[in-house]
Amino acid sequence: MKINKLTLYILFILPFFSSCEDVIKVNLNESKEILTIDAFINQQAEKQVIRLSLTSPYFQNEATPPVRGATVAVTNQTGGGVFQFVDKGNGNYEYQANNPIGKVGDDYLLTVTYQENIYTSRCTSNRTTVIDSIVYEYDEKENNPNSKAGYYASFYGVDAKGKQDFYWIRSYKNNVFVSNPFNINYAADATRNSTPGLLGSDGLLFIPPIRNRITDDNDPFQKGDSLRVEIWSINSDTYEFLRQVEAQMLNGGLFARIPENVRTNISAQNPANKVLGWFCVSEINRRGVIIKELKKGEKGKG
Amino acid sequence: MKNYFRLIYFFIFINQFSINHLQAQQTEKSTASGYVKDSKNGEKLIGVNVYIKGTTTGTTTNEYGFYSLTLPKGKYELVASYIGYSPLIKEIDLSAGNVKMDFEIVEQDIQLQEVVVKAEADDQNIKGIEMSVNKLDIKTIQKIPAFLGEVDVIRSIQLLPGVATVGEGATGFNVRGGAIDQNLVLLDEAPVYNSAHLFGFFSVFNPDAVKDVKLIKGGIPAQYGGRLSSLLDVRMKEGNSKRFEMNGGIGAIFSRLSIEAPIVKDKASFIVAARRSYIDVLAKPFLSSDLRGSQFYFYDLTAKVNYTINPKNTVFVSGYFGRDVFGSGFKFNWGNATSTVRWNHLFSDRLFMNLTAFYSNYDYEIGFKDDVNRSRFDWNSNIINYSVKPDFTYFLNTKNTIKFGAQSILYDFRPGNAVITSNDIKSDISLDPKYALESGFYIDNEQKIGEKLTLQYGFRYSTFQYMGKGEAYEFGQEKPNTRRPVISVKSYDQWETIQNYGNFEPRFSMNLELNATTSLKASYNRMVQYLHLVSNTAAATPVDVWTPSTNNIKPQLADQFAVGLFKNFQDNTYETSVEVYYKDMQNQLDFIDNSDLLLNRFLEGDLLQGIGRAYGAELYVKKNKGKLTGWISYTLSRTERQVEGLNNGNWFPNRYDRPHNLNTSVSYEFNEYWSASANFVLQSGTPVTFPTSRVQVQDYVIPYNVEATRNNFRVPTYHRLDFSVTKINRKKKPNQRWESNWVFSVYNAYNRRNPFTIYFRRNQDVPLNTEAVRLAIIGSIVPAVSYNFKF
Repeated sequence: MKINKLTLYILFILPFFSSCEDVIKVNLNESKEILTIDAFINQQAEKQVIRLSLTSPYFQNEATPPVRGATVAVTNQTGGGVFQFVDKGNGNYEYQANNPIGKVGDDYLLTVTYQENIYTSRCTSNRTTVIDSIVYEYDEKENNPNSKAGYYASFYGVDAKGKQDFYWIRSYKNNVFVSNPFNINYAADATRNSTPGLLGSDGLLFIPPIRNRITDDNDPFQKGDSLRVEIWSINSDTYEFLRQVEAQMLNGGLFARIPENVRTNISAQNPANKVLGWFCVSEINRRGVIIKELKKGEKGKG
Repeated sequence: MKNYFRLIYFFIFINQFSINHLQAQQTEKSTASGYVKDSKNGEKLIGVNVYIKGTTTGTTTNEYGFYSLTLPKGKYELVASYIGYSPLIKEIDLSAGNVKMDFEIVEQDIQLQEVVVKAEADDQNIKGIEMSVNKLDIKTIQKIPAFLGEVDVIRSIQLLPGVATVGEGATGFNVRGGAIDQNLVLLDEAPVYNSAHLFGFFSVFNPDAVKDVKLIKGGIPAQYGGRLSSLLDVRMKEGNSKRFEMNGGIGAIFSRLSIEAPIVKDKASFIVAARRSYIDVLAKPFLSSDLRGSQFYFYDLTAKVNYTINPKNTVFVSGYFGRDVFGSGFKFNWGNATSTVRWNHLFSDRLFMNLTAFYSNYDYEIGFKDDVNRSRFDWNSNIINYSVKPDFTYFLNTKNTIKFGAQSILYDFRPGNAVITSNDIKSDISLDPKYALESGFYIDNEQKIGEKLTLQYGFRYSTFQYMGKGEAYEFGQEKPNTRRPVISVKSYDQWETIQNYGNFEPRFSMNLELNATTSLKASYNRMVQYLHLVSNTAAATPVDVWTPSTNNIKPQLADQFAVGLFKNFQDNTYETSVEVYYKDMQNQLDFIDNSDLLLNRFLEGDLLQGIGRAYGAELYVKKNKGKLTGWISYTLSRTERQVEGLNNGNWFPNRYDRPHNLNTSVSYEFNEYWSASANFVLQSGTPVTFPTSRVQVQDYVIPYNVEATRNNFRVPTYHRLDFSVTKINRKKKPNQRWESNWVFSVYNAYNRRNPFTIYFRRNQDVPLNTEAVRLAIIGSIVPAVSYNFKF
């Protein structure tokens, strides 16, 4: 992030550098399809969704092909209960939770059976924290050609004290998940320093870059939009996974890293079967606001 | 250890003894010694041939311009000869004993070139033992068309055979398939850890203060150690000891000024040279109010003083300080500081000593500040060295020159001091400093055997101690390419040894003269490197951290073999060479997937080490004389590595692998006022890793390579043409001192968009669409004008 900003900066200071990026056509190698299990669920009494798909050629510009006919179940190994997810025929497998599937500290087991092969993953749910407030104001973004005019929001919250916690902060605009990779927003305690055992930022307010990453610069909020911020508890492995997803999706510029493959925490009973994806059960908290029209310099709060 | 000392003892004294013995039997001898200097400004010249007229008996001046020649008593005519200078012949009478004699040789001027007597010994490349060496004096560097007209040492080096770079604007350079941290870059003997301004567009060396540059790619003498692939020896000017001189210029990026003058004529002089970028000054009136506080500039200051106390003692003090500063709501700055003190002392007419003490510091600082939220993040990192290094040259006789010496470097690494402040509450996430001591001693002898054969043989023994105070970690085993967990932590006291390494580094070179214009050379060297630059990006960044070898990181080792055939044509007008090399490297640093390299206490758990190999052939043709000068070089090479857990355990090309590399640099003098130069560069594209598939998780479309192959594609071929035209305003009267020139240059003349890399991203507007993006650092023709003056 810092580096990207700086790269832009160089373009600004040395106009005659005229470094340029353009979209080109590239032929990639074809490869086999791999089952992907996208299983981020929570402990709210609401519909839980797990999506099964296959990998597809990188430039195939549509959702990855759905996988139908699998059986998907989540077992709460602490509190008891086996939750069967129903095949909706579009790759989504759903469970209507009228009661939460468990509580903080419960151990869960994911079991997926597809074409007689079994895939499993385990996860323990952690505690989360609350979002104390959301603040927003209007910004023309005159000086920044990469951002559009609109309402820019930030959130305030305090890391839960006493041990190292990991969070995934997700924002929704009009109930649609903000999926711009520039908005992937995860934290270890109040910052992004995840050194094991380091409690440097324990119990602090989330620091500014984390606070501000809930608005998509390419599509900021407008008057009347709804904004919802959710804070999901995750574990250190999921934190590393999100870090890797972010790095692989935002890997351009002069200081690009060598591309690498994202990990998975799902294992196949028969190691010859490859599988991708992630399983995580989170405790979540939410806060929402409807964006009101503001005068310049005014701040809205919710 | 003791045995090695014995060996040295044996080496020096047995030779001495036998020589004395021989001398007693034969005729008595005397020594002629002294310095060779430029007549115009008193600069001492390195590598000048000093020989008896009409014979091949002779020597060359060392790094400090000193020569010593021991001959049977008698009268001689000695010649001092150097490329670009008129040879000077002096009579010397050695019948009464040792004689001190300095030479002041006169530079050949372009106007005079036709009437000048031809230099007799421009064939150092044939006669000398050195191979895999490229020398560039500052005049050659100044002729090369430069990016934005800014004369640049590092970018000039990239035009030499065997030198590559990962891409335009990338920091550093890769020599014979080595990583950028495998080059020992010395500025007056002090190491420079980051040789780049503005990431990699310009280098830190101010051309006004540089005397000459030597790149040693192979057959590295025992005198040097600590890096695997090359030595870049940048020597600063000493300062004009004859008269006041001022140089300066205004270019597209820098404005420069340097002043040199005698303090005591012919005895003491100084040079001070400064450069600063000035775009920020020009841009200021055009910035909107919220950007007015922005900072963006870089500068450097180079200074040197020398004092010849008496013919036996000379002292030099030199220093460099440079910084890049960026900021606008954030701060980001980095820079090097070095200082060197040297003492040249003659113990006798034949034993020369240079004692160097240096200090070098590279640091960077990053900060973000949010006043409204009373929050900030401050982070800095350093690598500091202190070193003492005595080097001796013993001119035993005309057949043997022995060099020996030692070096100790104390390293103080500060991998990261970082403080986070969130609404006035501070939290310190700094890493502990690390300490290490690197020591070495060496001896080698350059010996002529008969008329045709010259050998240089010797060794270096190096040791490395990784020391406390601090914690040392032991890591458990994991699957390859995954983070290794810490299984035990041990604390160490200040200066307590955590890990010791010692390595024997043999060095050998030979030169067999096949005839007067042809020689065959071969060399072998083992190099050991105890420092590692931790960087997992394609181009190194200023925030990359240097780390010592530890109990978990083993020192890097390289064995290099090289063979070369050297031939000159038409009275040394053309120099040609063909060299082949093979380099075998061990303990090459690599990184697990999703490694976390900054501010990570357990960094070592994210590192991998593998093996590397590099091999190639370098063809080089250089024209030294005439109106048209320049060179063409072609390198055919590979550089690969193998690391358990990466690329399915198979060999893969390094990111800087460029199998074909053609460089042409020519310059033509039309007359005494006008000259023109051109470069043409044609290189294979660098390897990159392309995905095969997309994985979709939580609406994120993530690129994925199912075969897990690394560097499986190449970006398109790189080629570029640059040219420049120089108009010199000569002085009209002999006593007029002001001289100036205009340089008009065009970089990337036919406007090619050479891709630096190709990467993959989600389309900004349609989230499910993905695209490949070509990043060209230079996407257009870059014209520039610069004005330089001399007074």
